Amino acid sequence: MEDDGSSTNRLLEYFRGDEGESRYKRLVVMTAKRLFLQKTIYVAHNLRDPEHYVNEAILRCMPDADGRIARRIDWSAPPEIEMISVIESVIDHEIRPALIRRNTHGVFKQVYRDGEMVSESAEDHSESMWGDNDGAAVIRHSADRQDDLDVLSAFLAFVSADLVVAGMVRLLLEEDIDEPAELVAEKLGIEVSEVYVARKRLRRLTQKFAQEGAN
Amino acid sequence: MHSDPTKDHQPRGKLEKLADLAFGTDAQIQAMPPETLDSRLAELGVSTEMGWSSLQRTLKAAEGKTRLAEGRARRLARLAGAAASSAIEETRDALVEQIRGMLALSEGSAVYARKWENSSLEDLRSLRDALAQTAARAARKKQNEQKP
Repeated sequence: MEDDGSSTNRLLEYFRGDEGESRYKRLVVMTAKRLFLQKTIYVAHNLRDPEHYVNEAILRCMPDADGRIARRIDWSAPPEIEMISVIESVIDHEIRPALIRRNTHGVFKQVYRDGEMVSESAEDHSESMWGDNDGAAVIRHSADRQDDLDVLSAFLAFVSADLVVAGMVRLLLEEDIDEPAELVAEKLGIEVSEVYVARKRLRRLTQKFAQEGAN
Repeated sequence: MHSDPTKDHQPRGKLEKLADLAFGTDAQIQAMPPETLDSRLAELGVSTEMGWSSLQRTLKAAEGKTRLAEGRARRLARLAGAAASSAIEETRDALVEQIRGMLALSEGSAVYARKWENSSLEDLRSLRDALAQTAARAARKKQNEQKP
């Protein structure tokens, strides 16, 4: 679609000054969260920093050299919601060709090319997770829930040395409690201030897990 | 053909809760004040400096292109307006000149000579046609009178 310059002007206004920078940072945090989920669910080799996906998404909302625009933001709605959906589509588009679904049970393997399944086969457990996918998406899967639990078990093992963080994660997973901090502290038998400090450690460990432990 | 199942395999449930605990829900992130955002980014080990600078450069370049395009559009509009206005004036001038010439030839046409220059183009054309018919009738009459 053609752009009359209004999309660029809106984006300029949206990302102007200190408030614009804060908006950008919020998008980066939301993107980091999505990348964490992608990294832990999939063995994705080609993930980049969150800012890359945010900037790519913004570029899609701006006119190209021919004055055409790939995605027009509906500014009547909260633009963050649309922006994050463009970011999700950029992540999806960029990592899909090298996507291997993480699965320790190896029920079967499906190979996708351009969004269509081109082969399906029973999979030998010993087959490498990094198999030659020749640019296609290779998806090995069992049930979603099982995959989630695999990742969560791996995460718990990863943080087990930090007893407070591990306790917080168990509390969340087993009793669905993460707030308020006073309740978490009471359940874990620690001071409230320890909960706040442990949350910071949890954030660092989450990123570390995504970067090292998941792959 | 099967559809791509990765579309349906969105992470959810407890894993998503863990992500919410670590990163905050989208609503919480959107409501974060700048200082909380900075400390959250630091805790996550994410630096936005390079990305932000790169975005600013991109936006500045786009702003320059947009301003140029807007300036070009304004100039074109001005030129088009001037050309259209000139075409109207030429037509009007030509018509007025034609009519003046006819009035000089056509006696008794002074009735039209009251602010007729200010008439619309359509009225000027009617006036010219009426004058032409009058002049033709006068010429025929003169010819008939001259016949023996």
